Amino acid sequence: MKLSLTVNGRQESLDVEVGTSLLHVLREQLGLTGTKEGCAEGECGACTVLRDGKPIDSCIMAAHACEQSEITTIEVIGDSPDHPSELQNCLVESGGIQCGFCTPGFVMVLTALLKVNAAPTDAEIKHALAGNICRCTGYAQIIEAVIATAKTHQ
Amino acid sequence: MKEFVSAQSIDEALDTLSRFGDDCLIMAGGTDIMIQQRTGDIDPRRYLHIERIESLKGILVDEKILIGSTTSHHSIVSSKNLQRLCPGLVSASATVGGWQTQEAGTLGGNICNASPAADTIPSLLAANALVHLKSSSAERTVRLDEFIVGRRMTSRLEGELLVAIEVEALPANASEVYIKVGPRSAMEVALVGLAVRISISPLGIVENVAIATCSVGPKPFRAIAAETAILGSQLEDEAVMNAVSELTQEASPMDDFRASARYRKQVLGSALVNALNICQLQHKLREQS
Repeated sequence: MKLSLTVNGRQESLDVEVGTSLLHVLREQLGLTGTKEGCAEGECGACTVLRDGKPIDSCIMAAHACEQSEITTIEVIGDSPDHPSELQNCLVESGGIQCGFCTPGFVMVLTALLKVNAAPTDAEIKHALAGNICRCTGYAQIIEAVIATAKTHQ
Repeated sequence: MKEFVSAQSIDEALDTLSRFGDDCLIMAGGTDIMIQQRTGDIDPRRYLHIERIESLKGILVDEKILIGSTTSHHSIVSSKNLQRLCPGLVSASATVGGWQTQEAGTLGGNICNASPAADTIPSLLAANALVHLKSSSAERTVRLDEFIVGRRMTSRLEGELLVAIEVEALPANASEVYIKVGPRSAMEVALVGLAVRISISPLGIVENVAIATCSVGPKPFRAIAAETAILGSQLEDEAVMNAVSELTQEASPMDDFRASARYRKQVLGSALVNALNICQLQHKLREQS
């Protein structure tokens, strides 16, 4: 079935089987492989993208349910691969990235958080990250990175 | 070929439902449906997507509280009105997965999916929730405990759409709490879920109480015998222990890879003791202020 989707500001016209996840369309049909598949059941947050600015798990979002939405993926966070966002810089500096598989999902959620709350507390950061799993860092460095990002904006 | 219909209005949705009936799966946020489809539990030919219908979203506080069926858990958690008038539901919605699931997942979806572990249902039962249903030819209102009839089963009729959920506000002298037991609260499934709404008089007597659970039987339920055990009491140990015993007797949890039935029963009793303690503490703080 036809699907027109706005991803990272670009209008895409696709032919997608009904019931396909947004994640599958992003990765397999649009080649946007920055978004990862972890658990495939909405528990780990590796597939997080923004839908109209709000974080959602793209693995359990029907692609056809996004026709009227703006989808934003990790590919357009930061100005270019050489010029990452402040949050991405801070994640690198704090050691908040180790194997890196969960990182795109964390960056998307935290980008959404910092947009609505420029100076989140520890508790607010942890609350926002309840749906993201990282098996490397133990989270402390990720939280440090968010606090460091907030400070650069002060 | 499979079909995906994204309705823009209630009328359009009811029209589609009257034409296709049960040959049409209603999808709101899709957080449960997408998993069930992936695991092969369901294979719908046609989806009716209702998330775009603006009139199904929102929280209306008047003489009664009406919550649109596709109101997201995130909207419930963020609602100042519900934080004040229905704090139990707010804390239950806050445990439905992480932020991402709460943005997509809806209250009506949580109800219609009718999972034995549905987080919002115990708090809704404790708030005497009613569900408002509409079809192209009729409207009706049903008590939530009559709407949920079994594991993943509701009494929704072919052609009907859940449009709103009505709840009673927390009375001024009452407290309520939702306790979710699990290794990770943002995890999809509660091992045990328990909601308590209780009114305590200035003399410390229980004037009204509602106790409801999830994940300890094929469907969430109100534990009437446990309620009776503490109604009129001062929450003395004996009354509380009687309530625990009634509650655990009524529960019929299952053994699965997440937890044994024995563990769930034991933890259910502790959850009730904790919930009553929290409510009693809230009551004392209110009395002092």
